[in-house]
Amino acid sequence: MQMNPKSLALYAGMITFAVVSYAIIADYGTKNLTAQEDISGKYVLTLESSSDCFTTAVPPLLVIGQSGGYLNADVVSSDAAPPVLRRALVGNGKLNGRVIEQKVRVESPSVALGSCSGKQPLLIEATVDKDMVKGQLTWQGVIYPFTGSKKVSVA
Amino acid sequence: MNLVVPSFFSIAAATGSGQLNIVLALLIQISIVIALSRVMGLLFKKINQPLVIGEIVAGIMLGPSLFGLLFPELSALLFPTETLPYLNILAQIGLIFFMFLVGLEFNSDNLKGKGDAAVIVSHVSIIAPFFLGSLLAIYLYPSLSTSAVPFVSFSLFMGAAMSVTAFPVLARILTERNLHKTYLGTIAITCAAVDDVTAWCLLAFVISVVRSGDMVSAIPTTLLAIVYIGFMLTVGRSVLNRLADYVEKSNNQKLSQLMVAVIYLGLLGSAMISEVIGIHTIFGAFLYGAVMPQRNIFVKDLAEKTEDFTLVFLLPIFFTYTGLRTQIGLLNEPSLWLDCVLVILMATMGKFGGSLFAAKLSGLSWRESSALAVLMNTRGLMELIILNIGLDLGVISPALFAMMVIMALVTTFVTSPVLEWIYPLRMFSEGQTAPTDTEAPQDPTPSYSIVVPLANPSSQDGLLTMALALALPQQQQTRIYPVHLVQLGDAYSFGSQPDQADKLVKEDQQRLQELVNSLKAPPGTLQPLSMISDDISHDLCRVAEAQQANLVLLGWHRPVLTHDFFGGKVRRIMETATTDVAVFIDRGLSLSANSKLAVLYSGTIHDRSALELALRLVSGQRAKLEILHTVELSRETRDLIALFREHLTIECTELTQDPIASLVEASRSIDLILLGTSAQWGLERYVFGQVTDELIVRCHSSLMIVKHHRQVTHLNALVVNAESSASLTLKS
Repeated sequence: MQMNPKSLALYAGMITFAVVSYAIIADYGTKNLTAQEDISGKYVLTLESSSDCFTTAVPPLLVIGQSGGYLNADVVSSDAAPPVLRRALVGNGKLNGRVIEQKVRVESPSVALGSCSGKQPLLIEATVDKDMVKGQLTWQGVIYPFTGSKKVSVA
Repeated sequence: MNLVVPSFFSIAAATGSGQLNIVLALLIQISIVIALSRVMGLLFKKINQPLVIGEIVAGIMLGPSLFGLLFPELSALLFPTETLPYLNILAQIGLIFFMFLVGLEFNSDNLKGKGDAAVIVSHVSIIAPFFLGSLLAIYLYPSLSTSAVPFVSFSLFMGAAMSVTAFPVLARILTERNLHKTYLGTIAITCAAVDDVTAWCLLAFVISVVRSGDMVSAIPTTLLAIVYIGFMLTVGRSVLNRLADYVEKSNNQKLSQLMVAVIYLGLLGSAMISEVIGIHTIFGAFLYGAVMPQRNIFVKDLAEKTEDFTLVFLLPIFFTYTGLRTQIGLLNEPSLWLDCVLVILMATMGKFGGSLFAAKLSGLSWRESSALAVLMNTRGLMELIILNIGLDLGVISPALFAMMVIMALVTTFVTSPVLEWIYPLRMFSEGQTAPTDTEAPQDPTPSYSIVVPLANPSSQDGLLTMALALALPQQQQTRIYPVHLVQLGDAYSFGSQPDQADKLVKEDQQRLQELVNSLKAPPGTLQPLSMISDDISHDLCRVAEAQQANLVLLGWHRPVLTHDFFGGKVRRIMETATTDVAVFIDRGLSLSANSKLAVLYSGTIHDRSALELALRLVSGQRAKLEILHTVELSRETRDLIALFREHLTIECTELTQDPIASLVEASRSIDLILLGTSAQWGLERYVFGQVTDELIVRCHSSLMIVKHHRQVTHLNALVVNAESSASLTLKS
């Protein structure tokens, strides 16, 4: 393709603009911007007080799917069907909420919990730090404090 | 269905292994996917949208955003998680073959000699959205990404994802509107081709950066990619050229199955090498297609052999796989929807705004610049390909993925209507050069003109002969436009690409010219037109309007009419044409002075037009005319007949009892019967009206059915001649 000097200069100018502007943006973003910690995954929970909805043999799992600061999550039995175990990871969990500086708050106005029948409001407030989670779960007006750790296999 | 499907699956599970279950589930899924994507594609075509939009929407409908939301259990049953990896594999194979097709249609000739405007617009249309995309990353990164994704990877990806233009969709829109040969169309195609190559190279670079972690670590991958591109452009192209030589020298000059296998092996090899290098399989597939020698046998044959299975079977699976991953429900907060709007705005500002100002600076008018910018803003499935890669790599989160999918849909969906609004088709046609203008007659405004659509080779001679017979009384001042509209196939096909469509039109023009040359007509009387059309009826009416035709003369090929509820294209043309329409049913007519014509006159305005056409025909042939009237002739009609009776044999006979049976009987001794459509033809389920349809079926002679449109007359010049000289000046 034959180009006149004016077009060539414009072409070079545009490339330079793109490279320089991107370098500035990348430099600014790398130095100044921080995204939320990646907390997505499955956490095996240990409830401090017993719940009829879960047995000790089959502990509850907190499954968190993350889109930056936006979360969706599920609390399910660890022996639940694979689609149920995975649905929050692909963004289809029953609980929605946010994570701000590793503080998690997810809730649903009506959801079933473990083997308990009937749907009730559910709220989870917790802190996630280095693959460990600690917080409380409120269901049917009862507060269940819990701790948990991340399962290594996320699949 | 809730009851049937579980039992179906349980039977499968009980009778065979889990593998059988998965195979059955996959077959059911694919059947649903293909059926729904075709249905949605056709529905979207009805509202003048590219078929691909309907297919993408079908995919999203099958996912959690609609089907999964409304029927979660059935959705989980029909699309069990276990089958998703298999769907993914099919989708990935589909993408490899699709990108190969995209590469095949990339013709570097598009980039040659297109001037400064194309160069400037193409580069600005990449740089501006890339810049705005990476700028938007500053805002989105803290809220929609995680620390697992470095900002460099995120911003690079956002920039690349904003820069893409859907070349296939754009090319299709241009070709369908016959714009690909206009200055604007040429620039748009050039820009889209440049964007295509740049976007895929950019994406390859982004993937290497994402996989390596930072730009420095990506250097080896980038260098390897450059070496591979160089290898393919030199050694790869040379080997493929030799292969093309071999095919062309083979006995039947066609790609044998062995050759296709060799080429496909090369394609898979290229995809594998690019994956091993650390870019993506699709880049290798695109590159392999792009270096294919652009020879007719090689490229056309290969594209035709590849595209049907890829586009009908594999690509809808990719759309569904995308749909299954698209969770519009994730946008469950107003702030997320605001982010989504921002993504759409920035994408449009970058692509539309950048192209608009670049085109304006290059000397195009605001209107042309806007039209070009709208076309460049089309993202289509190319965006989906990039987004899926981003989601696979973990660069973008599911919520951002959903936003970007919505952005891709919106920008593609608005293209056709906004383009029509900014630059209506009629404006393009005004600016277009008609293919036969070089042979324009000396008299630019003929006193009488007929548009003759030619669709069926078996009837085209008869139609043109009839048109010439109608022209006979004023041969020198009459123009006949034989029109053949080339309809493209499916929404995306190699044959619908601008270059290929051009070839089709040229071949068609050549055939029409040969047909015209075979007829004995004064020079300049017959002026063939050939063009691409997506809506035959609409475009024919547009041609008739543009040529200020007095008559559209159609053929009729269906044997039975009486139970035709729609009447197809004929009915649509009759409804929308702004001139008279005559439908000629040829039963071996050969007009001469010995011919006997009849007009069935029942007093409607359509009968009056039929009478006028009959007078034209008998004036030219000096044939006999009988007017069979079921009502008393009006004074005006009687005067008209009297004027022509001085030199022609015209009889009037009143049909008193059972006019239909009388006419059917009379048709045994008549060569051609002309009659108008029924007065209420448009309100009935019959094509021309109940009586007319019945006559068509029962009469033995040839027929011409006429539908009148106001302000059209067929006798002006003849009557003036007759009155001024007190006798008709007949030219035979």
